[in-house]
Amino acid sequence: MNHKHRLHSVVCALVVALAPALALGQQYEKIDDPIRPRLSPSPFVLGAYGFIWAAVLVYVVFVAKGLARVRGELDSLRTKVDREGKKPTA
Amino acid sequence: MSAGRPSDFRLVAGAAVAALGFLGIPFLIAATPIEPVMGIVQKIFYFHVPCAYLLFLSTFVCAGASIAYLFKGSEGGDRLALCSAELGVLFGLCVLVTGPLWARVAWGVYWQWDARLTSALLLWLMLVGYLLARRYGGPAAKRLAAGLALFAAVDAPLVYVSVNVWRTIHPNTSVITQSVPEMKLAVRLAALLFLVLWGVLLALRLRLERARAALGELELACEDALEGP
Repeated sequence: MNHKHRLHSVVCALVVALAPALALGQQYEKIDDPIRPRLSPSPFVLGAYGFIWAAVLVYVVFVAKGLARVRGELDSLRTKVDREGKKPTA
Repeated sequence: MSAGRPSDFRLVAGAAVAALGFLGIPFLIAATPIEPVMGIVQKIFYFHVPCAYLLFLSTFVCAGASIAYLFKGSEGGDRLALCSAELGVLFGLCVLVTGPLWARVAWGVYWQWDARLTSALLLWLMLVGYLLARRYGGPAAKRLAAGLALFAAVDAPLVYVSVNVWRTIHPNTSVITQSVPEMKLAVRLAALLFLVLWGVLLALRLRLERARAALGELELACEDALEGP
């Protein structure tokens, strides 16, 4: 091994020995919320609550309309039966 | 069903409580402390969690009523299963909309394909499948849908424990027990009010199903009566 090779070996050994020390010596800087911009939460909260209101309201209207239609059909059927002068058993 | 019957009174009283509760919930939520990490958006918790409870409740009621229909042939059970499946779809939709709105602010994305979110979506799709089977399933639709309801009931506990079993981005089930007393009280009150609302909607929807059944019976009776002996 000549002088040049010895020097390379020493430099490599030093790099390997110092690398963990350099890594340990790194200081991490705390960054708050680096990527996404801050969203205003109020529209999301109001939107979520509003959606529940709207969904329940639509459902109630759907059921109430169905109930009104079926009751109308029941009444017209009863009227028809009464007009015919015969009483159904149900 | 004439007006003034005790069942009408109960329905009106329940509807009044539910409406007042819905009006009061924002004040209740406003009175709770602001969560230090997520801030205001955490308030979605007070109606997201009750909706999830009602999704589970609807699924279990649907499955129990389907069992009554499958093994005892109970038509009342079948009607209850159909109505609770509809409510499961309604409150499941509320969960699947309010959750992503919360996630957009808290996580930076609307949706993640993690265990909790995916299993909840599957549960909701099963209930939608139940309704589609009932509507388009032909003569065997009721039995087919009842079987599907049993699968949904198996999935519901998996949705609940998914956050404890798998690694997910969603908070785990201990989030309520670990929260401060004011938050705990608020979420329980909100859950109670949502439960009243669920009961009122179920009673209303059952009326429609009973009226449809009565109409069907009357039509048959009319045909017999008008044709004569």
